[in-house]
Amino acid sequence: MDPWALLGIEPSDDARAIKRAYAKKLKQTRPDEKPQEFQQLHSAYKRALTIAERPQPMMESPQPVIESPQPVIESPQPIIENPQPVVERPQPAMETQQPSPQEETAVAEREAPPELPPEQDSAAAETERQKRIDEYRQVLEQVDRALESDRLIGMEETWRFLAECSYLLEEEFNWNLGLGVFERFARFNSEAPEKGSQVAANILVHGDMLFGWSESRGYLYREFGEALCNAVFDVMEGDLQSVDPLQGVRGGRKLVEQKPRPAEESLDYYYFGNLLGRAFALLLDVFLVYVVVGLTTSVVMIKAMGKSEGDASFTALSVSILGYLVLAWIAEGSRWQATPAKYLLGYRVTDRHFKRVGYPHGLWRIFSFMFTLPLFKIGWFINCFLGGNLLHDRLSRTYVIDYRKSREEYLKGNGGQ
Amino acid sequence: MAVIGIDLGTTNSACGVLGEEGVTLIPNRLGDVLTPSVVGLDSAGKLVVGRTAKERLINHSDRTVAAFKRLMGTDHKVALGRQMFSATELSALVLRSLKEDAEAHLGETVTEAVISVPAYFNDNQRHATKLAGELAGLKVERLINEPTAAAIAYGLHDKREGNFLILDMGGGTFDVSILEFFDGIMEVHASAGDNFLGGEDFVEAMIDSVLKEQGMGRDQLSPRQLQNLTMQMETAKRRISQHPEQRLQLEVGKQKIEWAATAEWFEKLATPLLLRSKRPIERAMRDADLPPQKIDEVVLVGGSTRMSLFRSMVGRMFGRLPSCHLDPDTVVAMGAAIQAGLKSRSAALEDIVLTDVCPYTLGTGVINEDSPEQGEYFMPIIERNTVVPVSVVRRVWTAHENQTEVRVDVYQGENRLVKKNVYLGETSVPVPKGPKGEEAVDIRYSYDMNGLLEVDVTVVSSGKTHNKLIEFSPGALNEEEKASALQKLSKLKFHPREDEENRALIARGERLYESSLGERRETIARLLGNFDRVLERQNPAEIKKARARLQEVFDELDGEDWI
Repeated sequence: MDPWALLGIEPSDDARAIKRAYAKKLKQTRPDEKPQEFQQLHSAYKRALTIAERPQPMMESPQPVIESPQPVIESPQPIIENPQPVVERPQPAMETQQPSPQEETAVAEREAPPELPPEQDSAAAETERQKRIDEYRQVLEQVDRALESDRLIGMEETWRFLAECSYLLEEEFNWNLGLGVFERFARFNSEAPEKGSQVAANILVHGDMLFGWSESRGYLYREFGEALCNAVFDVMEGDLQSVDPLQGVRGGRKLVEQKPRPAEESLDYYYFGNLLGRAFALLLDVFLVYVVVGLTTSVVMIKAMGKSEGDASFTALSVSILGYLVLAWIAEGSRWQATPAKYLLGYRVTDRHFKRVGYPHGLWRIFSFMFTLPLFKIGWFINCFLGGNLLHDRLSRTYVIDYRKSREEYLKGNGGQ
Repeated sequence: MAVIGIDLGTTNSACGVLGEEGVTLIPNRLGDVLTPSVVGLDSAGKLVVGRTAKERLINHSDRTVAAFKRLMGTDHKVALGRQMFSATELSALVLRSLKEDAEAHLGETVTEAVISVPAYFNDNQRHATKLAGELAGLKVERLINEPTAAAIAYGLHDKREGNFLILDMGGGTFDVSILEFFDGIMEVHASAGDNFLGGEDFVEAMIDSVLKEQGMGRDQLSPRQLQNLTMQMETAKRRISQHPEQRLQLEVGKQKIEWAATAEWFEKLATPLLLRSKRPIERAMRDADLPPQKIDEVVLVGGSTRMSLFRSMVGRMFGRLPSCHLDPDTVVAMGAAIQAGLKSRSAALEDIVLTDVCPYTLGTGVINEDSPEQGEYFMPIIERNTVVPVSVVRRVWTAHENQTEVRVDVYQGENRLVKKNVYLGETSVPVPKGPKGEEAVDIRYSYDMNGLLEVDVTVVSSGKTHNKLIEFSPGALNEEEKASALQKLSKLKFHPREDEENRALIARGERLYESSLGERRETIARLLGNFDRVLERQNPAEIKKARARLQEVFDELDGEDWI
């Protein structure tokens, strides 16, 4: 659509007039009230502005920006009292020529420190400049030294000096040093025989924070070529460290870090729990309950109530089995979706949609279990031929899945959408 | 009924209201405009918020917590005594305290508010903030970006037109926004930021430096020592530009050391953090496509921008002195209050329209066939710095044969791999079975003025739309959980307002007692004992007199107000 019609004005290259027209229209098209009309109006406004700013053919200078000389390039001495506007990253004065890898030995000589054309001839400025040049040389030498030792490269401690050198806050110095360090890292990484001996991601990310490499990717790629830049940026991408939000919180008895609530995964395939594994889980669970509940009961009965040992052990066993049923009901219906032993073995109890069973449905499952197994011994036998989907599972419409195995298989496959 | 504007900060919070003659900042129960965002429980199980709680951070660090804004939008919890709290609940307690202050000040109930959030806050963090408002009994009319709020306050104050660069460095977050103000229109061109960069990080760096020098780790310090050290460093940081040579008596582990906090030392450890803060500035400038000379004014917001190192860095970048003639600590609250006024009585401020942008790229994950081990690729749907409200649709096709379900993961970030972006949630829709690539769904992302995202998924073949709220986003609560959180918070009560000043004073005395030695310590103990006895007699006039006297003594002992 014609942007001028939307704005309600004649085509114009007067940015002020466009803005005025937009403002007038916008007050009738408030973004919170008419979002769609607002989007149209806004894009019309942006288009009109672009048309207005397009250089006119009769104008002589194509880009007004180039006309105004940028003070930064000429006056590299950043003097704090006299701030200099920075337009773009200052052009690196000297490192435009790339030494090819064969010329590695010549690099040191050719690599003059940042060219800082003296603006003031005063001696003071000269010494200041010299100080920066010395610092630049020193840091780069230190980088070279660190890169020589395989052991040092990997340690974050080694690279602390990068953040500690002086003049880092000065744009010119920072930029030139950044280029020097970047080049060294890039060459080192592209020549490293295998991934393990490269400058690692965390160190590159640290360097990026200091020198802002990823902000000037375009320039670096033009300057150093794709292979070298990839050697840095690809490794940097691999860094998965993120800021720990727990750091910085003050006070509290303790901070409990909770993993993000696991998104309920929809795995491709689910495997039934293995029969032997389940039998083992059952035994282990009953044993656990017996140790905790059964033994206590029998001790209490013998000591406190003076019952005979036989009576006591019978009661203890019954109590344990009852205890197991209660435990299974609560645990399988809970968030854990499994009794302790099942959980350990990686099994989960789910409904037919592979979701949590819940307590009412879980109760039904326990009754099914009671009907099929302890009461009718033939149930044990039948279960051996049911392929993991046992009698009580079928009766209660639940599954016992081998979650661990299913997940591993899933991860082995792809993680597609 | 008034709608209040609240700045819920990492370190301090404030609230204001727009009245007939401009914005009024609402004083809290102690008469201060700033309420430290610190929450604690005292031994009686009563709630302590603000300065009193901050004073208790040293002696009762296990029952007091600060800087919890950093945990917003996560599932992490903090234990105060026996009880566990999420950052949302803690924020709700601060908001409740501010709400009560506002009610006492205005003499009416307050049920609606505009709350400011860092522009770079992600969707989870925004939802958590909104939820905190609800838990505090406030309907959150609007979430406003902090730099935008500051710009409103400045824009209305100065009535100047042109391009503004707002740099907002608070206690825990750093935001950059570029706005243009013309003909009553306030247009945000670009926003960028760092959610984990603020004044607290400078303090942490100072502590790390001291401990490294001593060859000790944080775990070797008792909680009390650590809190004490933090306070000392915080004070030193504030004073460093005026007092470039400070001698501090520190207690680390079993030894007492004398530490020279010099300006050079501070500059060295602040440099990496300052460099980090340059990145968002550069990014915002590039996104706004404005050369620096077109920036008419650089505005500093947030307490941390008082650091002279930061100011000179900004000065050097833009070749001019940044302006900060409004109090950087309260300007966001003022802006939020104006926005609240805009909402409630639009007549007076009808001439102002605000347009904002979405500071992040929002998208979904799509299958990555080139390098499956790297995980899914990120498919942008709404590009960063798109003007909002906005609604964008992208179509995706099924990736497997006979696929019956399409899962739409929602991510936010700038990386081409989803695993390096922020996970916001997901939703699944059923699709008819068919060969791979046959079925398609349209994913619509709608981003509103509050910075909240809504996702609709339409199955193309059936035309069925599934409008699901994002599920599983960290920190989110369902209705049941919300009710139980509300119940838990409603059990916590503040002390009566009139007691608060006494409590703050006692807490301050206890803190002073902790950090002093010898004779001074005994004096403080005696003064506190006397004050307790005065309180017991319950004679208001006498209490008032004793309080004023004690205040004076403490002011003398304290030297510097460190709140």
